[in-house]
Amino acid sequence: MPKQLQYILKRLVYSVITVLVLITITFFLMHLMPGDPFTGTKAIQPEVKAALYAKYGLDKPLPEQFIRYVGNVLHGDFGVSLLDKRPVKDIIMEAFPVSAELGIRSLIFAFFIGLLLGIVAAVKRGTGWDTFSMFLALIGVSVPSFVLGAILQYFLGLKLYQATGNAIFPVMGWSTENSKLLPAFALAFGSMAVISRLMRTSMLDVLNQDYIKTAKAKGLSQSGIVWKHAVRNAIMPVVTVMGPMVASVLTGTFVIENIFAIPGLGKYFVQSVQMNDYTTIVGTTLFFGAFLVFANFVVDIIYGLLDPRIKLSGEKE
Amino acid sequence: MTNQQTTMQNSSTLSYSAKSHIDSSEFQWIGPDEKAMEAIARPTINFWKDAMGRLFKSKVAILCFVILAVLIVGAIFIPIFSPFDFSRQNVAFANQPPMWVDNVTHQVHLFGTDDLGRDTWVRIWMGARVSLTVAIAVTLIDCLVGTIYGGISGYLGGGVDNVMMRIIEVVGGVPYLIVVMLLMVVLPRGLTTIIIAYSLTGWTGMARLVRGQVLGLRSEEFIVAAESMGSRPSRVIAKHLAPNLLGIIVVNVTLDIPNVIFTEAFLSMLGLGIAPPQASWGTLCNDGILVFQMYPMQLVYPAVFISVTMLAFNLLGDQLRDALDPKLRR
Repeated sequence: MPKQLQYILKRLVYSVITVLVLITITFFLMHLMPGDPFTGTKAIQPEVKAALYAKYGLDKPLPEQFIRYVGNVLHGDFGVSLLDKRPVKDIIMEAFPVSAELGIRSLIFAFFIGLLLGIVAAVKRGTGWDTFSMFLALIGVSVPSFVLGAILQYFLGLKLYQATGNAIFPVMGWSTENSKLLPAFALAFGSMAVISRLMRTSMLDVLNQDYIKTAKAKGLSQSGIVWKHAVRNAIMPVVTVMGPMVASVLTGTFVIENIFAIPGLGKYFVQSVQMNDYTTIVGTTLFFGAFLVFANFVVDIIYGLLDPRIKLSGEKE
Repeated sequence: MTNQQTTMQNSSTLSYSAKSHIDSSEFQWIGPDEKAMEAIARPTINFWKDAMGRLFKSKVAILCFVILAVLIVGAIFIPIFSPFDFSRQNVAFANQPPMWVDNVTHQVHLFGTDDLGRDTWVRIWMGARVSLTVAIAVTLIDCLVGTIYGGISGYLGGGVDNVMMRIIEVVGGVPYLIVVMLLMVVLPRGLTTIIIAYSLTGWTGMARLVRGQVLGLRSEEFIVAAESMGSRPSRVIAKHLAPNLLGIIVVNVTLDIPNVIFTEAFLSMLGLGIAPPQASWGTLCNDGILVFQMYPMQLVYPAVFISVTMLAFNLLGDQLRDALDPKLRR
């Protein structure tokens, strides 16, 4: 399918350009920052400094520095953390899988629970189920994830522990399955709300279509109608918002990790903000930004393949 | 002419059917009154009056307006008239519960005090100033830049549109929060920095939306008609395009404000908010989370303020969208 291939190639080119823009921004921000990468706590001797400058190419003219910087970044070399002298790459390799796991758990949670709530609300329209789902959705869009996280931590973590004497949901950490539940839920709640609202609207739209009446008339059972005909057609609008949602959930891990003391990228980020560890800040954000661009690319491709009605060239004709 | 004939026919059939009682010679043909026929019986209601009428019928919308009005008026006046200064510390009175009465001056701390003995009630309203200012300023900048950019792109079309949309594709592809995070690290902390950082990439959504609308409107007959009658582009834009775009812009501004409030709070949680002793709802939440296990109310107050504000703007946006939807027009 040349048309689909063309679409994928086009999206790929855009993603690459976006990442290059991101690298350019970070490069110039690095130069705007106070001091240079070697302004540490101790004064460095001029000769050592000159040697370090030569090693990292900081004595070269700006364009050459830029090319070197892009090269380094593309090789995964984000410099050395000013705080504990570890390569930023190592920190990322260690912390990113944790963040990614939290993000993926939340996304799965948000997608399935949100979908289910939306379907139930639409099918049982006007009943208590509907009111309940939409009330939940309203809370979800207005209560920030970090507030929900803290509240869950307080009641299900602390109070439940005090009441029952055993820690069903640990207050912090990232080791057992149970310790992963609360953070993932807190992070997922907002997206779950958005998905359930979208799914409800979309389902109501589909349930009024003629082919649903036909299905009813030919004697198909309620569950057959809902699962075979309605859900399949109603799910597309939900898939369209998955791209931005993946980005927002993954970025959300930064805050949730700090509340639950999870050793992910976000925790390192906040630590380095507090300590003015510029190389780590820039390294982690740059890596994370590039990852988000990549995630968006994948979602776009999936969307393009899922819905044959989408013109794959990406233009309305 | 045809009109007159049918009227005469009508009058003759009338006289025929009532022949036995009334003589047709008593009637006189006065002809149609053209002015009366053209008169508009009902008062004219333009689109906006209609939409606003529908909006204010909804109790939810009125409630949202009241909440937002209270928040804005409170943010302006409460810090002025309060006996406490938002940054005055008194460590001896730290972490007091709500409704706590100061035993020296006998003043009531409505929401208690924080870990440095500052009055929480005043700090929340000072936070409202920062959070609402950021939200409104950022949204207005996004809206202005986005509308102009999207308007030009959609109106000119062709090659210009193509290039402008490619630029948006790249700028919009850069994760919004990432850029803000990087900028907040580099620039000096303050209100202006926050506003600049947020509005740098936020305008692309509005630009896409406006461009799509303009592109659709341009092929409509009334625009083509105006152009063929010799309207200059400035007139077409001001008289025909702008009024049709206003609805969707207003709805999106309303729905964008809660996003900015959330973003501000989010960055404050990462230590990238406004610098102390200044406070925003986000930094207050951040401080509250640190002591949440012992003094939960210090998180609950700012969290409730954030949530209620976001809820009010979200609901108002939904109501506005329904009110402005021509499909629902009766």
